[in-house]
Amino acid sequence: MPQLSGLLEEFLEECEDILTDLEEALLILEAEPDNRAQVDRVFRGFHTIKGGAGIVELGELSDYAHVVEGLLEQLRSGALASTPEIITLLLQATDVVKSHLQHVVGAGDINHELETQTLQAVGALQGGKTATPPPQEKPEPESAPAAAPADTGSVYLLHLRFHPDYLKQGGEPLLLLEELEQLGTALAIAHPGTVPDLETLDPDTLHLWWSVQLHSERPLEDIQNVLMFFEQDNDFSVELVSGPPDETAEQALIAQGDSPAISEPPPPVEPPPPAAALQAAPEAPKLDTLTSLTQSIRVNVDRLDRLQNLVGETVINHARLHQIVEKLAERDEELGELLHQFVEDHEFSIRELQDQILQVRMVALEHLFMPMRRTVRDYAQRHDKQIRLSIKGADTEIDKSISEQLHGPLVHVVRNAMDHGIETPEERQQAGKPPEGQIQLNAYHQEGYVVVEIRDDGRGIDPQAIQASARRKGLLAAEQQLEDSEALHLVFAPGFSTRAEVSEVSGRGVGMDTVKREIEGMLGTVQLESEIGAGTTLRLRLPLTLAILEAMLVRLGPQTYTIPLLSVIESLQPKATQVKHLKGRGELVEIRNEYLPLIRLHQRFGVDGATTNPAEALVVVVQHANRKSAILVDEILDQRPVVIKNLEDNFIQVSGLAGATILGQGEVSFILDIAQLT
Amino acid sequence: MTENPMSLPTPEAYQPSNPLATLAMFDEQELEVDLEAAYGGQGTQLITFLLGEERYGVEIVKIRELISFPETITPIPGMPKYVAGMINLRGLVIPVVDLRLRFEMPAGEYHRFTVVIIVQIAQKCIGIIVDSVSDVIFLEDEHLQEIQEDSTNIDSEFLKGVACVREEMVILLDVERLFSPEELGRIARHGTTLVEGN
Repeated sequence: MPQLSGLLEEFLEECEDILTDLEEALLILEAEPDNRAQVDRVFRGFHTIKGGAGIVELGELSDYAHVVEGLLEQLRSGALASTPEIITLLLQATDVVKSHLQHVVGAGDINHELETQTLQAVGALQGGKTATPPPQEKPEPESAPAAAPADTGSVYLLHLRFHPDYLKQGGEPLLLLEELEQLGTALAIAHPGTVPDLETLDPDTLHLWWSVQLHSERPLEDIQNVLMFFEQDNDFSVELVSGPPDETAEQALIAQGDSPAISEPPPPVEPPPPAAALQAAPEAPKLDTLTSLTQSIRVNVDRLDRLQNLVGETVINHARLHQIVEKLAERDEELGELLHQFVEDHEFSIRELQDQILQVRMVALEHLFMPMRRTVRDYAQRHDKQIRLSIKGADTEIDKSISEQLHGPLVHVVRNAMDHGIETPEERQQAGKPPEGQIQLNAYHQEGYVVVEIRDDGRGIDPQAIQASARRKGLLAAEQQLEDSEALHLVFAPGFSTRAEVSEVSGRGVGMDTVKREIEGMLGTVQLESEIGAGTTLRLRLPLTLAILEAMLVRLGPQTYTIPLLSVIESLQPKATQVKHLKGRGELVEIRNEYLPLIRLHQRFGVDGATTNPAEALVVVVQHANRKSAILVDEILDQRPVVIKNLEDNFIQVSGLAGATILGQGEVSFILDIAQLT
Repeated sequence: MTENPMSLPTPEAYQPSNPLATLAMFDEQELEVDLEAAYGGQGTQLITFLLGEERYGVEIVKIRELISFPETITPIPGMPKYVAGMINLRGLVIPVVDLRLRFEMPAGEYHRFTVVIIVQIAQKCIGIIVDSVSDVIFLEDEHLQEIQEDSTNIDSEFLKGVACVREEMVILLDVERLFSPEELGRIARHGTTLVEGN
């Protein structure tokens, strides 16, 4: 991505938020066509985009937004009513804006096709008025101001006082004045305000303020909207001085700005306006500030990553400190005592610090779930299905990087549910179900992990059909017959799909195996449940954070290995009678009538000196994706949170290992990848 | 290289009895090390090390640091023998490769003087176990010669050339090739076959 100017970056960030807001508002508006607040919301969104695009010199985008804004004005004024077609059109407009933004960061091209198409549609809706946007933000030579008031319309008086550092911050009052010009005929007077004498004059400080007399057919709201954009830190006021007769009756009359009207550029010193101009009139309604008085701050995720690394290292160092203090205590009891106390206090602070940093990185799953509404809506429309998406637990929080990595798999699973799961309304009615299919996204915390459930009430997965398909693909031997739950598991096999043609929605070659791999890459687990005719539930279990792992440390010979606690069910020392050998299935451990495969890690990893007799050692029972296994270890050493170090940072992905961590003595211990080993 | 490439205070000016004053002399001078003027040509600085009987060199810019042989090396399952294992470098988990084993030489004895050279290739830090480290030398480009096949113990694929420096032959090691994505990929595949399933 090319290096972007700070202003442009800010604009892009703001647009991201605006676009999400727009989609939300449009979807609500679709359900509630009379919801005026949403129309305003959408209007403000496009208005802001227009203004911002102008400032960062994205002319085409600004012009486009201006056209859409025109359509929205008609919606606001009631000239047009909100219809599903208009909603679709507006959603398409957000897509066009998105393509513009992607083009700016070099991630795609502007969707000119859709742009032209939507512009034409807007033109048609506005009754043949060509959608040619007026020029934006270009300094134009001013003609002599026409002092005659408009035949219809109102007269407004504006007072524009800017923050003295406005110029230093890169602000340009002219832009605001030009914007106002767009709304009608404006006469502006610059007042010397705090202009000092020449010797003490700082040209970068804004000393002037302006009063503007604006003849416009537009309502007060429109003017407020323009001001809103420039509002931050500045002090603006706008009053209706005289307007269409029915409004004026309610307003106090104010002496109009009577100094000789002079247009830009600001004139030499003028006598100050009559004090009466500042007469109390019904206050212009409080203007919403565009950027809320920030109680929040945008932070680059890289910074958070670095912070987290540092904290992780502090935790590791602390563990080592602890060990050293233990050693010291053996030599000098008194000193050891002192240090011990300190180390404990220190540990408290470190854990607190770690917790807080982790908290900072948490984002609500809402950001992930909400865009799904649009996905579902678009799909349902296109494929003539009726699908309702319900969301629960959107405020459940998860680490930002997990949230980002979750996006792809989530979209895929939802699309699968819509494509393969939910039947057409006719099929559903025949099956005695309501014609509208349900997809439910549910998120909640459970035992220190986040569970994300995607549930549909569609046709479910047929274990027999799966097996048949697997046999056709050579993934399953002809005579092999699996149990239902194992058959379901085949869905995750690479290269699997139950549709002969590749569906345009589910994509090419991106199967459930990719989803499973991506979730496992985050040290999460995937579980699938299904009932034919009733529906399917996919359950993703994810750690709260990628950086720290609750783990069980085990010894294998001289080596210490780390097992993610998420996968551990129990551990026990099997009796010799519990260990069985079955032909064709290897060694098994029988636990409460369940037979679990025994995994001899010492063999797989080539570790010398490990105990080979299970009856003299321990097995740790682990579970992954509906399957349990028993891992043979010598001893369980400890259970605690460890800091995950990525192997690929300096090496490669190693089969069987999910990462590494540094133990108290400073040595490296590998984290087992349960998914790969079992 | 007979001229003094750095302008240092003359030894007579040192005051052994007053070390601070001696150090202060250095502070006052602006030490300039003009490599090009000193060595009179284009070239690279190398760190040389011994591997068996032969002397090798690695460009100093690729070297992050030198460490003594680590206390613990954790072996990585499924890796070829020349991947000794992972170590903890002040919080970084990095792999260490035994260069002798990598080039199919007999294994060496590890002791206090065994050095691990930490190289930085792309964004990765990787350690190389060598017998011992010798001098830093400056190798002028024009002195670098092509390798004759079979003239050295190790595969010429990973060598950039040879040079004669101070009457000794130095073989220039191409660490970037040694740890290229292709090479690392080969190592990865080696691991896969061993570990996954019985």
